[in-house]
Amino acid sequence: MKQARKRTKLGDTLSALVVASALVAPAPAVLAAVSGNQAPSASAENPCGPSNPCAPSGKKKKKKAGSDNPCGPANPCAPK
Amino acid sequence: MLAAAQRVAEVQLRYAQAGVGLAAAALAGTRQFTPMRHYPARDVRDAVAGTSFYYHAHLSRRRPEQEHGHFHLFVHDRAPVAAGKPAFFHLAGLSLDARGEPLRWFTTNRWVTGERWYDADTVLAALPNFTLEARGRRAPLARWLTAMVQLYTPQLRSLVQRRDEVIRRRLARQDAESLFEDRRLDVVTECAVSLPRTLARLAR
Repeated sequence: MKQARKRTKLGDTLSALVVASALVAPAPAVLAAVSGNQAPSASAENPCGPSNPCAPSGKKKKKKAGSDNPCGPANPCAPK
Repeated sequence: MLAAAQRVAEVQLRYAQAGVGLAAAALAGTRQFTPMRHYPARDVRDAVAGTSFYYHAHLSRRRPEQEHGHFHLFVHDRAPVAAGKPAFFHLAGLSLDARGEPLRWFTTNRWVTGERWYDADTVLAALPNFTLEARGRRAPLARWLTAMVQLYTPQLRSLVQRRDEVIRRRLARQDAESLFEDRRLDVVTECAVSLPRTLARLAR
């Protein structure tokens, strides 16, 4: 009974979602090219690593474009 | 599973009612979507759960045609690790189209994220308790990703187990270090998803 109610609720939400999704605008497309100082190089060693919460901020990171983990997690504990 | 499906649908519905898809929500109002840049810049990190995520895109030729960008989900080590060693592993990636509809889950080779490599058993042990909580405007996104992981747990299990099978087969003809650093192998396994179909099946 409880399960059936949950299914009905999901069905209702889903119906509303189908209608609402028709009005969703596409997100801006990724830029085709960027200048070298805007983002880590695509050839970076770990292009999809998390930010290092203790790593230097973005500006310092740019100086280290050739470092091992250009896309590593941001490091909140690193010296500024 | 039903509860997770309900949460996924509710978060997506709220965004959709505002004309926003999950991909736009991940960009949080950014007009210029720069390749490789993390959204948000320092990732969303749940310090309590030891998890994090971010959204981004690359201009790789191997990027699926419909893909707008993808989330990367991470689990961070709680125990201290040796200096210079990675203290996290990659749980999975989730690709979205421009309207924010999920396209596929995928796993990656070690070099892609610079993660600490764990076998499937260890990675999958993190699945049942995987949660992401965030404050601010990405809070619903974190709830949605948490629910997506719960909703697609069977597929994620299979995906990570298949990842290990691929790696195991390749290790028979390639040494571990060169395999894990092999730039020709980025996405190891993938699993196409259709969220409307998944939700419709559960609603029946």
